[in-house]
Amino acid sequence: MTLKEKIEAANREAFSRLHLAKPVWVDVRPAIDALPGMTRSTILHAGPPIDWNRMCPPQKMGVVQGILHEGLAETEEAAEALIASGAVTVAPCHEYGAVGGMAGITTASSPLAVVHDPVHDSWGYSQLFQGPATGLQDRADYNREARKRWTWLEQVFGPTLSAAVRATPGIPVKPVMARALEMGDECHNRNSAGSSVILNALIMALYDTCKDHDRLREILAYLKINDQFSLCVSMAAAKAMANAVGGIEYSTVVSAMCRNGVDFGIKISGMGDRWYTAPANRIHGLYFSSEWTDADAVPDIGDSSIMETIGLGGHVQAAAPVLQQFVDGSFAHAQSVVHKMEQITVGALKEFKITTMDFIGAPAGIDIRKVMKTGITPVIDTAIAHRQGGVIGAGQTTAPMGCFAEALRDFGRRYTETA
Amino acid sequence: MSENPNPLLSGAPLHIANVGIELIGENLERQDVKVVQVRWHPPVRHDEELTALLDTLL
Repeated sequence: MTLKEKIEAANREAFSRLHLAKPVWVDVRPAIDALPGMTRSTILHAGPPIDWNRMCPPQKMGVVQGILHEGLAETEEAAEALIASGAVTVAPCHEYGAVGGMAGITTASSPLAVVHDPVHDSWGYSQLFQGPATGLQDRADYNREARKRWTWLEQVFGPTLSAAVRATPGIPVKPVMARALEMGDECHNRNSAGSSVILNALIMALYDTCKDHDRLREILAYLKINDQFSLCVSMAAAKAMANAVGGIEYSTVVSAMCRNGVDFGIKISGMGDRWYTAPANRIHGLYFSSEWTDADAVPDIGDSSIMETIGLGGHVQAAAPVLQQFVDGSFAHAQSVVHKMEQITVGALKEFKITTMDFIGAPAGIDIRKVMKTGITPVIDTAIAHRQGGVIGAGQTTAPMGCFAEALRDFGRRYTETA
Repeated sequence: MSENPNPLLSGAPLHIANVGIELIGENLERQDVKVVQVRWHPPVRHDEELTALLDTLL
């Protein structure tokens, strides 16, 4: 086989793993129990690895709050001293098989959605959402509210949800995402339909397993107002799927995309665990309040671009026309984005149909060769984070070209020399 | 031949083939003009190393 033929075969294998994967939501477990290698003194964050002094303000704040929350330090100064001394490990969620939305702060006690793909024996984990932010105008208020919410997630929501999920035979996540697409989600910025589908799948199990009426009411109230909830389950499923794509010799398919508010990072299937990074782009979108402007926002942040890694989110933008309001767009624009993503991907995942475009499949399996050939980079639908924490808007952005160029050069050095 | 040779001003139905940037075609469609979109963009220029790599790998 020629080198090109080997790459084509490897990429078909990568695509077929995305197609054959059957991720199932099986549990909710604290990170310390679920993640291999996790310790009490480890704080995980979204995006590729980054030095503490380069980290963006909301992520730094989250890491410090995580340390305080876990009782590893009593003051912010003491927490920063632990980081500086190396007594606390600060590392990407991805390095531990997990993903985290926005700043992605995940500590030992954080309850995680646990998803397993039995076809490839691949696991994915995602933090649960703390819910709508309050106290954004005051940093101390915001931190206090966030930590109160973390405690509730750990002590009430996580264990209750775990019991309910384990009472089911497992909830297959691909059908949830496919149904959500049919109902107007693109499974990244819009998850209203998916969250309803998830609630529907859980409600009898919650009724059967939670006998405390007041607690059940709290859980249902949380699920009722959190219309982004299904994203954390989808992200865990996407991580399990993307893990299965990794490690295929000769493959030029992207197996991870994530951002930390400073750098955008990608991994390539045929290049092992190496990260390729470039400066994260700013987000074009709409702020939820007129008090916020671009000056309040950090660049692209979060592990939620794992959804585009498997061909959803920005790749199927036309499935959720309502999101065009965030970018002053149009349905024609959304369709053109889908067609652009077709030019940089291996194929169309037929289980994820875009009903508004005659049921075409989601363009999936990003090929770094095609990105460089066309100059088109993946479009990411995403929320906008405030410089001091909290979500203040939503819109879309693109992956920066630089990380794809670096990856292709490295791929070339490795494989043209061994060909 | 119409009095005004410019078809954009003559009032006759327009038949547009829009090459490249979709935004122009989209705006014409919003004005009820029939548009055929041709997907095209200028070839991407890379340095010699990347150009040679793409020839080898794709």
